[in-house]
Amino acid sequence: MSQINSKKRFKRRSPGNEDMVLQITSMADIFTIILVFLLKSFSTGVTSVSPSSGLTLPEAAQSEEITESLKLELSEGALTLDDKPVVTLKGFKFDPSELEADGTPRTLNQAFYQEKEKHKQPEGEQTGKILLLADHQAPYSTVKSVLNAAANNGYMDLKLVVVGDK
Amino acid sequence: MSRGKHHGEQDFELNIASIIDCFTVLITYLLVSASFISLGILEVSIEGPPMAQPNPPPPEPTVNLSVLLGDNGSLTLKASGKERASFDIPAKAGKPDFDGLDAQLKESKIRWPTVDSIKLSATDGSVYQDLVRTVEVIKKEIPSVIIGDQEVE
Repeated sequence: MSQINSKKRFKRRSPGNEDMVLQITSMADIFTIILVFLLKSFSTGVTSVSPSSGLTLPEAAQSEEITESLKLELSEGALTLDDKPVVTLKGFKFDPSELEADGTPRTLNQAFYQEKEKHKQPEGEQTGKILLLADHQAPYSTVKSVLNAAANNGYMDLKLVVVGDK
Repeated sequence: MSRGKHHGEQDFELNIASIIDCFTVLITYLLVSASFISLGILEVSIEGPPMAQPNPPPPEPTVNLSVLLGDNGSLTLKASGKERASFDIPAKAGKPDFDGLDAQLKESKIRWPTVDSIKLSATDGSVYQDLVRTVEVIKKEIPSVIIGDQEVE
């Protein structure tokens, strides 16, 4: 008798319908919320300014909004102008053969000159602006060489890109 | 024939699966293009090479202020021109004392209220992060910052 009872207790249940129904309505709710959030943070215009991998921008609490300018990126291994590699660096240092008498990199001077020719402005007009994305560990000697090259080619206004520090 | 429904009533079922497809594509695109870090800029000028100016140069200010950032984190605020002064701000725990610089700039602004630009220079061993922080501190008091070479005395 006890065996019959135990058998009844452990009787296998017939396999029911195990189809899983996807709750599409809940998924639509979640997707709507995510979409609204992303649309809110999406902005047209200056979305092309993003530091490349391996480049850590310095932090600053107070800053202004980014506007379109010529982008100059200084990382440990390379210097790029408008997303085109210009000079290779080793530990933020230029190759001594690359430097001219005034300490500015030759290739960078040529690149600036080509940019200036591309966007030629009438005589006496306001000089160009540069967006500088430099690694926070970059030594001032390298930054100075880059800034001098920019100044020699008429790029006097500089915008230092920083990460908000809040 | 549907049960319990009035004649003429139209059932309308929303096809959520298509909406989910659209949402998936939109969300994927926005996620790829989204930026999750807030970037800002600090506007400065570069001291350029001297060149012939077609127009007469603007009148020189009474006092010229300059800040020098040293390798060891020291800061020096100098005034030159009609009045001369020098204020050394030693580093704190190996880092530049930005609070000290801020206080010194506030006093300078009271003493020389007409000064609206300042020249910033640094030694070769200084780090870019310190330079940016110095620009940020200076801009709180004096809006125009010009990055240039050290003045030779």
